[in-house]
Amino acid sequence: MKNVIIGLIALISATSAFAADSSSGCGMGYEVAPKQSLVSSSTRSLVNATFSNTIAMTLGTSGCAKHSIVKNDAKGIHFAEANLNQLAIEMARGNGEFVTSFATVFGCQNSSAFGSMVQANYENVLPSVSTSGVELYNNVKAQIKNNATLASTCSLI
Amino acid sequence: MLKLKLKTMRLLLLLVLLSNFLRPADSSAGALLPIQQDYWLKLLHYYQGTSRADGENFFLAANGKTNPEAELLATIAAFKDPNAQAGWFKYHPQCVFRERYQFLKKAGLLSAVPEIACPEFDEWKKGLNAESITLVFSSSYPNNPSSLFGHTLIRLNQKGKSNDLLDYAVAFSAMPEKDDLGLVFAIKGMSGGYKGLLEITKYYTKVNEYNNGESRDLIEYDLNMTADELDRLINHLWEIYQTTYFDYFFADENCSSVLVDILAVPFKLDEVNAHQRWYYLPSEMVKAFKKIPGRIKSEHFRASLKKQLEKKLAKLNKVELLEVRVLSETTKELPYNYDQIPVLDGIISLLDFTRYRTKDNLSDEQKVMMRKALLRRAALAQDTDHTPVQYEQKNRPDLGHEPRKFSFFTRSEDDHWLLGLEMKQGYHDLMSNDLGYDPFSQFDFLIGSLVYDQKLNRLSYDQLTLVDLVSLHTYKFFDPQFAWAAKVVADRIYDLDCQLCHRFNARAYLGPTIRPTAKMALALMSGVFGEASKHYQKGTRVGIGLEGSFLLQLTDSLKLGLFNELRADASHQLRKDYYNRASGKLSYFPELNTEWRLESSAVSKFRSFKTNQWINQLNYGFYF
Repeated sequence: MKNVIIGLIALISATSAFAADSSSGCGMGYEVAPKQSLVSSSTRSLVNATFSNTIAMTLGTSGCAKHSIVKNDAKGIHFAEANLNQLAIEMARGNGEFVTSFATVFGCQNSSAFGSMVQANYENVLPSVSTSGVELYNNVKAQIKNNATLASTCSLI
Repeated sequence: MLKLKLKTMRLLLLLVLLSNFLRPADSSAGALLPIQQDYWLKLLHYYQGTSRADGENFFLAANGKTNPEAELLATIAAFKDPNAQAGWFKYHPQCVFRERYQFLKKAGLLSAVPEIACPEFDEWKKGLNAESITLVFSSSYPNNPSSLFGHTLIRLNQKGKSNDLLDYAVAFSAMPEKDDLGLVFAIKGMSGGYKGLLEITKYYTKVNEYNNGESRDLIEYDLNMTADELDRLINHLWEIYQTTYFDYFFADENCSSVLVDILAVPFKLDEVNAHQRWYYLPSEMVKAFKKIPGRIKSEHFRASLKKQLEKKLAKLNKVELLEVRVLSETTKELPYNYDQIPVLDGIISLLDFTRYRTKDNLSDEQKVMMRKALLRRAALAQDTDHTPVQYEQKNRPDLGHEPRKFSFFTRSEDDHWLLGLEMKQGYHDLMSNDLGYDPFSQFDFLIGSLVYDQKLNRLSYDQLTLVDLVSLHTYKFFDPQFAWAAKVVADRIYDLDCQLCHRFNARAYLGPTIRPTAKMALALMSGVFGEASKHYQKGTRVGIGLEGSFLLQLTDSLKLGLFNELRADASHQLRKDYYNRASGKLSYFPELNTEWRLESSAVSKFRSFKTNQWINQLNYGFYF
């Protein structure tokens, strides 16, 4: 069930962040547009990209789900979706600002060990060029659980 | 009795507060609460008698946009009404207008009003988890005229963070319609045709957008601030965020001017949002904060993706660089167990930059090579080098000259001596001091000059410039873009024997620019031009122009420019109807905002390369 919720949130995140019209039905963009007559789809898209994925959905101002488990995963999924290219590059090197931030998303303080792990398991966490952000997130999460050191030190797993 | 006295005192306080709006500023009653009056007007975003906020939800009085005292009374009434609703989500007004509420409460005007719980605001504020802010300046988008002035945003630094990417960023941005391009975009942008909204998003989206997507440097200025200042900023952000948009005007109600008006609320510093000119520049905001002693704690430079790539490629030897180019442009297989980390990193960075440059449009072969290079790189040693890469930071906006310029000049035109004055509204030209600006760029607008010809004893205008742009974008194998130039001016005719004669003059050129060193630029551009004058035989000239330029920064205070432009009128006899102008220019910058210029030009006679007129000029100008 949790994975279904995560998947749904990832879908909403992806559409609102990258699609032209993201009338997802929740999020401030949806609310603002009809009430303020800012009826262009781009308005909703920008506002939803701003609110629904970050503040509104994760912090509960949109009226969407605000379960704490969802909140943490949604942050990580959004990070993975938004930075997929940079993560793919830095994970191949096992180092970089985006990899360090990704480690933080999982509560991993030892970013060097995290970088080493994702580099060593590169084909597992990014199995193809079409790997999505949510898949990357779930793959990394699974690898952390398989890694004795990280599983015990990454606080948000 | 005590209750009655308190009520009377509160009423008196309200009257005093209102009196600030009703009485002249120097009246004795008005002087009692001058800060509160200013603060109330700042909270309402008043400017010259009207609020710049345009969302109806921002006002609780019907005439609140133009009447601050009516808005004050309506706000107090709404805070007292337990059933009142406000903002887009219809929360209680106390929960929407957080900073108005705190301000009026501290002023003692709400002491008997029950406080409403605001869980949405509390959760939002807790989620932001901010402990300070950072001003972020984005340099201009290379080769894109719509962003030549740069952009600003703020970053809310989270408590106990280990990096910046996960912080929240706050920006004010216009919401253009997707189909609006070119002239429509410019006209709507200048005339308030777009709505601007406060955008709060993760900082990594901005780093991706500006640093990577548009290859712009991000220059970060960490601010010192008190907990009270931070609280008031967060409160005010929320009340803007919950209620209003601003009509976007490119000149003076833009990304920076609205943001600086928001920042003027917590910082209580009038100089921050003084709005000295009819336009407001992103660099102006940075400079305003930079002038306040102790306000800026530290500065950081986040280099653009292009600069990161350049640094990486510069470390390679010739063989490695060739290998990077060949492997990234062909379908050639990576050799088995290839282990050259610098080359692999070079291929990855080059293809990454190409992907952003082509708007995620890598060829299938490039995608395959990227994947192979990433997999191969992942099989090699972990990158453990955490040494920060050093970049030249001369384009930091706080270092630059002011945008407006006033000049005096003396000039010889053959045996005529002239004296002149010039006023330039903005902004920067090829011969200006590049410190604080993108080097070898020009964006001049609204220039007017007058000359007095002693021999003719005549006063005349010399030139009127609407706009004169040059972007000497360097042509590189990984970024093959042409430089361009465009201008619309009225200036003097020198290729005919005609004294103080004028013409309309416009051009649009395109061509490659190379930069053999960081201090040198060579450009060759060609394109079309149009001229019109009553002094021309046919009244107009339309044809092809060719211009070569050489620019050299000799020292930090000395700059040399050599230019040659040949124009041929194609409307009649292309091979015969031509003229040439060759110019040498030298600029000297004794101080940041002053400069001397020495210019010498030879203009050929129409239909000849024989010099028709020599023009020599000495110019002293100061920026303000």
